[in-house]
Amino acid sequence: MNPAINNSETQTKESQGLISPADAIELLKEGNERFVKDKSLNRNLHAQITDTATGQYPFAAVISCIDSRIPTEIIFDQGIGDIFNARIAGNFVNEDILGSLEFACQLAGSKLIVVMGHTSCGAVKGACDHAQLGNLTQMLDKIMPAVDSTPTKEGEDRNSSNLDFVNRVSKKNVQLTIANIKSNSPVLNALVERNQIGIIGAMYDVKTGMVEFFNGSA
Amino acid sequence: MVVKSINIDTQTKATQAEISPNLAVDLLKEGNERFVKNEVFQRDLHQQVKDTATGQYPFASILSCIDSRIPTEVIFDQGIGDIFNARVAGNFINEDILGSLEFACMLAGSKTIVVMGHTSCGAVKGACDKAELGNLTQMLGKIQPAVDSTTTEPGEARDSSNIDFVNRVAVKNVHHNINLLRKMSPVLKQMENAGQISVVGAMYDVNSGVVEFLD
Ligand SMILES: [Zn+2]
Ligand SMILES: [Zn+2]
Repeated sequence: MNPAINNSETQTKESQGLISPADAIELLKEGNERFVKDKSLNRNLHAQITDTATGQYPFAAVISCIDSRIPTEIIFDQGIGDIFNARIAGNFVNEDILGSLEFACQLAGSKLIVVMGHTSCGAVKGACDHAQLGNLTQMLDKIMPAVDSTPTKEGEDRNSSNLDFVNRVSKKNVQLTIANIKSNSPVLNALVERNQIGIIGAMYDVKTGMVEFFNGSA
Repeated sequence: MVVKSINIDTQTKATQAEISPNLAVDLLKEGNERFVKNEVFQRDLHQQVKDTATGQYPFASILSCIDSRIPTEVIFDQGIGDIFNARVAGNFINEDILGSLEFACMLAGSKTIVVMGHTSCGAVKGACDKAELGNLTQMLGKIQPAVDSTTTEPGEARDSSNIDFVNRVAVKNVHHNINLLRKMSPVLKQMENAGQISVVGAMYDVNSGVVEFLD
């Protein structure tokens, strides 16, 4: 990584320009390590507010769940202006999330999209149990392809009583969401093909605070 | 104003039950005041990770923008397990956001929904300028009703060159989406009518870090 890249300072147009998709992954990995080791940076957030009052140059965009246990910027130890964050229960994409990511990458210069699921996800549990309620019913439908394509051993439960199944579905849901981004957003797909951005999957463990990145970014 | 410990310690089923919809809003107001004054709580986040490993009892749900300048939990000085947060560029409602909020309130017991816009919002600027690009085009279409219903003085610019107009559209967008939420989610509307949750609007100022709650 270019030694001029310094994650403790506010991102500028210049610093954003130095960061490659691979660097962006590295910065987030390092940030989560700091969080886990209780060695988060002491940023001057008020100076960062002043720095970003007239513009933002975030290096990554994270799509994650609304879950209250996963404040994205905190668990990645990022400051003001570092990362975009789209959040929806079950961290899938719809056209509005895709529009948000296109804004983040094509217009605002982010280098990486992270699709982050997590263990013990309530939305994934709801989908596994075929829960039905108001707008939730159709929302959970969007997680069903991951439920349906996650295999189980003979006799193994395919509902939320089986937490191991739930967590496997979450992982599958991340993989399917990455595929959906590429097939439903020609804008983002073109950025990936030109190596201007990367897309990578990740899982957050609510027991440990650790983010595990999947092998290989798109 | 309130017992500090209710917001410094990890939320439990019992503490969540004690928090009224009004108190939930007060806790957020106090949290933002602490953030602005640089007097944030020193929470033991690792203890909070452990406390919440098997469940969460958040007292509030925020719908806000993806903007990198607004890390929601940080600007409200909230810890692990305190607030749900749904985020989409331009903080508007769609059926998936409504499903997320129904999950947060009806199934997970949170007591207030805050729809929070912000000054200098890139998505609102894009809608004002009628920008077109891929999936963005239809996304910005959802902010268009707020653009169209925001009035201007004769001769006043109605595009992103006029930041005052952009910020007025952002406020209008918050009100519009609160109305939409009530119309499109009978589940949430019923909870509000029964006094089980409150639904409030707010604006974050990217110049100051201050959240202003709207009437
Ligand atoms: Zn979740
Ligand atoms: Zn915005």
